[in-house]
Amino acid sequence: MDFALTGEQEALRDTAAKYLADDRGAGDGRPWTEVDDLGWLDAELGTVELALLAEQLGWARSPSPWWATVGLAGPALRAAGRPVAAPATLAWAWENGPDTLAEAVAAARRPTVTDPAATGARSSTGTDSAAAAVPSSTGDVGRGGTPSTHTPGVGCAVAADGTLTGRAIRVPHAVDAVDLVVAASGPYGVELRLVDASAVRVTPAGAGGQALDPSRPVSTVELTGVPSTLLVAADAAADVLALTRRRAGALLAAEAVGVAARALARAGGYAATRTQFGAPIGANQAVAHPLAECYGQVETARSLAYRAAWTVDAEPGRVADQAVLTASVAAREAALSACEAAIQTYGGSGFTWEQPLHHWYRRAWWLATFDGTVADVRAELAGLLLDD
Amino acid sequence: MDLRDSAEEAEFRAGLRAWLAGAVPVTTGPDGAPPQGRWGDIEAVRSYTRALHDAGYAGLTWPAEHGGRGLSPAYQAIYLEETARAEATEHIGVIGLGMVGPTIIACGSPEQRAWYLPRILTGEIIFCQGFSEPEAGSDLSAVRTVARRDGDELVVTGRKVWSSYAHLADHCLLLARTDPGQRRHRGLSCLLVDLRSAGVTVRPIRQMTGEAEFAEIEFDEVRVPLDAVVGAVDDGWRVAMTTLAHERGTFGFTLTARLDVAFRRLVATAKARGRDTDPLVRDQIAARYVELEGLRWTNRRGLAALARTGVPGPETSVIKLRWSQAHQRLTSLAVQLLGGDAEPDGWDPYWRHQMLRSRANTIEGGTSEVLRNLVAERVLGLPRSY
Ligand SMILES: Cc1cc2nc3c(=O)[nH]c(=O)nc-3n(C[C@H](O)[C@H](O)[C@H](O)COP(=O)(O)OP(=O)(O)OC[C@H]3O[C@@H](n4cnc5c(N)ncnc54)[C@H](O)[C@@H]3O)c2cc1C
Repeated sequence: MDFALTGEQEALRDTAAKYLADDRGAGDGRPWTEVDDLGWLDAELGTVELALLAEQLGWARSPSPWWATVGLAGPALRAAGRPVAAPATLAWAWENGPDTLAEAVAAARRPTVTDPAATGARSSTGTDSAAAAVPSSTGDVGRGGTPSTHTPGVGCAVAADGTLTGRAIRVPHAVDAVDLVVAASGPYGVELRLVDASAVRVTPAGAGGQALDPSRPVSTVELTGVPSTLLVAADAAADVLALTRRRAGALLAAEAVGVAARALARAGGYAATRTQFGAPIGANQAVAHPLAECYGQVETARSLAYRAAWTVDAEPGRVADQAVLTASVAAREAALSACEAAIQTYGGSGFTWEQPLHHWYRRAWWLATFDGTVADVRAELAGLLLDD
Repeated sequence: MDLRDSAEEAEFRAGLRAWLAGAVPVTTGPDGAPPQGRWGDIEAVRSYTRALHDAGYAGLTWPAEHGGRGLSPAYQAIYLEETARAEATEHIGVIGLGMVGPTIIACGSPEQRAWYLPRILTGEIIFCQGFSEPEAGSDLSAVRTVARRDGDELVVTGRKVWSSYAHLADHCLLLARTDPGQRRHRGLSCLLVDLRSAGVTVRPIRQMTGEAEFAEIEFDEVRVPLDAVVGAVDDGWRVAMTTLAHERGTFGFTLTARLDVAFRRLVATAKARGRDTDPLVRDQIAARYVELEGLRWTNRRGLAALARTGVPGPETSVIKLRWSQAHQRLTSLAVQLLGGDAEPDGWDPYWRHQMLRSRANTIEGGTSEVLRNLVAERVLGLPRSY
């Protein structure tokens, strides 16, 4: 039992911190190629390593689509033996359902509703040109070889020729993506398919500066008969989606810790130097104690986020699910509290646009409401704790 | 980073689990609820202590030369997890094992180590901690109890308060002023005092729960040999800080283990009272779980820092603070679950007692305000506020 980071993990983290330190201004994106050059897309990186990077990106409040690429699209691309290289994302929420990743996993697990008339009609879907291109383990074999006529609740349909039609909602970083992974209903259940993002219509939500966090844009994505390639067939899609959910959740928890730690560091620095009534404001317990409380929140959240990341690879399944939900609650709350405490510590200047705290606060809110609220996460956790 | 037990740790855990399955005395309170006070059945605690020692589970982290097992704190963590899971009681000498013993190991003389340490392990002598006084609580350096030099002896006069388990204890680690000419933390000494000495009076203090788990200790010209001083005479502040570091540091595992037991009892009560389907209750139970897990894994992270650098990581400074809040919220929630039940059983008085007892958590062992001061100054680098 050893909770210490290895030398390599520390080096990865420190290099990331150094690289991100000269990222001037919150909206200042870096060229995508640098992310690849840094090795942040390497297949060898485990979830703990990715979490350390996510934490640093949260600290810097980076606008990079890295999280969507490795967290959301990565598991499906890797399962299909494809490289993770270009910016990518995942569409799992559809206008007519499912809404959350949890619901998408559930939809993918649901047995397909079979139409007796269609039984044995596998050849009708065998025309999928993409099916031949993927290894047989993730091939288009379906569950028991029985096709369905009803889509099991995923609002995007795969046509016989492999084209996709549907309206995806709240797709993170769709505006940046080159590769779009799509959870769609095929004849044997939910499949994961790859689409060229330039072939879809992307409409950013909250355009014109109204977005909660413009550095983490979400969009509506319209697919109208767009060609696609099979990545993960119906027999494996549920597991890959479940892994995606854990992986993405663990990375967001780590990112939230980075956001919280940065806000707290700024607040601590300001409280030690800003003088009123002849003394630094941090000499007042009314200022200092909330920051001490935040420190406790940040550190316990950090422990949970690292532990969650570790379980994603080491104890996949229920242990990891529970650990990720736990870390999500703690880290989301820590990020919001730390940003709010920091804004209050800064006084009037904390309320200005010029003081960049609001960028972290916006990210904290984005994190707090991503794929469900903190209360939703606690409700799911309660189910694991109380219902069996 | 590997959060699994190593092969040796797994073996230790399995052995302990098997031992606990046979050794834990079944101590129940009224109507199937757990006993209220930790020391409700003192004889059971004594015999469990002897069994623990005989099986080699007392002083796991103490050096082998002092009667311990010389194991790393990771084993202590496993021990606490497993004893919590088995709902076992604790070694009778919690203060001796967790605070006074480590202080003697760190600062004591060879003679003190040889005499006290084995007896602490067996539970033969039981220590209490005599630091707080009526005029010296958070500001410990204000102690007024004096230990006046008289030949080879010190003559102690003064009054200590809130000393936990002093009514069970036969020895006290006492903080007293040996140099009346010095002020604040200079001129203090730490003494190992036999409470059966002439001139010592222990008066239990009734606490808000109704019981008397702590006491006032009066010293009236009590003669203590000079070699009872731990460390150098007048260097007691450093020694006392060693003790408190143990109280606030590795003690986190003990606190978390107790919270773990409490959480499982909370879930059992919620189910027994049919409240586990109420969405608000479910939300609160999940919140309490997140707090428990945050403490559990922060303890372990601190342990990794300790193993590598010899000092616990700064994050451990928040464990006692957050544990006290988590425990208070948990017991408050439990009491609220009781409300709707028309037929109270043993769990009603149990939880009400726990709820009242938990109010002390943010006071004992350093108040939450004092702990926040420490974090603000030492970790966040803010100026001193007082
Ligand atoms: C159940 C229990 C068991 C105990 N067991 C022991 C024991 O075994 N041995 C022992 O020696 N002592 C023991 N204590 C005593 C405990 O350590 C003290 O009660 C505690 O340190 C506070 O001291 P005080 O009671 O004098 O309160 P005070 O120090 O007078 O504090 C009163 C209030 O003022 C606040 N305050 C004080 N100074 C500051 C400051 N600088 N900044 C902000 N707020 C401040 C405190 O937080 C508190 O809210 C025990 C106490 C309890 C409740």
